[in-house]
Amino acid sequence: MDLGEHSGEKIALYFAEVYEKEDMSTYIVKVGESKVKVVCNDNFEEGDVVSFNGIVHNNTLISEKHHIHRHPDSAFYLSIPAVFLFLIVFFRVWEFDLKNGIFLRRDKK
Amino acid sequence: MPDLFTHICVAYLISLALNIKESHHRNIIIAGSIFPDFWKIYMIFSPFIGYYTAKNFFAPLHMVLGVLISGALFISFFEKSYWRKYYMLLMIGAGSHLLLDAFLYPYGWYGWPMGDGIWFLWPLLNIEFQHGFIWPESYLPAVVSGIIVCAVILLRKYRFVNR
Repeated sequence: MDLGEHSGEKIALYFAEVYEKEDMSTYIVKVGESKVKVVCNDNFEEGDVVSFNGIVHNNTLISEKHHIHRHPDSAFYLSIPAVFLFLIVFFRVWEFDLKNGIFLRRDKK
Repeated sequence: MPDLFTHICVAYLISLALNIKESHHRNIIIAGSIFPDFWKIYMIFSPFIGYYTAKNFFAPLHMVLGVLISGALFISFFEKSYWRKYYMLLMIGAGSHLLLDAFLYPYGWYGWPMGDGIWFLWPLLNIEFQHGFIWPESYLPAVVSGIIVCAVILLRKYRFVNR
């Protein structure tokens, strides 16, 4: 990833993982498999997941706005019970007929 | 929305709003509401074929054209006489899913700089349609929609609302 191509542009980095702290306000963050230098006035720990919005200057993203994702996996954990809920509700109404390879309504049997 | 729980709750409320009384019809709308997220099976394949290859291969399942095609494939597993009706119901559910997802901040699916949002109209238009009202990790939509659904179910049970 080369931020230099976007020099002077306003860009957003979503769900970047703080990889290394260089000094009080400079961080190296990982986005996918790439690493980007970000200047931000907040204090992050290594491993924090943060989204940034800012301007690229000298191969560095100068953050104007940021959002720390305190619980980035909550959607995943909420979805697991939802899948089970769906399967229970679905198979209360339908059953899969292996012989014909289609779903049949239980109330029509 | 970020999670399937919210999508299911919203699909249930849509089925009530459309006055759909038969449980098998309601079921198809709910199936449709989680249908676009079948693209997440990329997680199973990514260790074998690579993260980005798997993601890009299954991503069209979360786009309008992909939903229309894969939805037709899914409906073929039902009785032929119901295909048209079930397809319409499935698309109502899937449409609600894509509409709600458009209110999210982008996940960074493809990885910058390719684009961070969902290209709902790919391959017709390579435009991201996410507007950034809710962060994907927010559990607020699940709580709000869950409370509304519980209230509606209780009201219906005690017949304050016509069945």
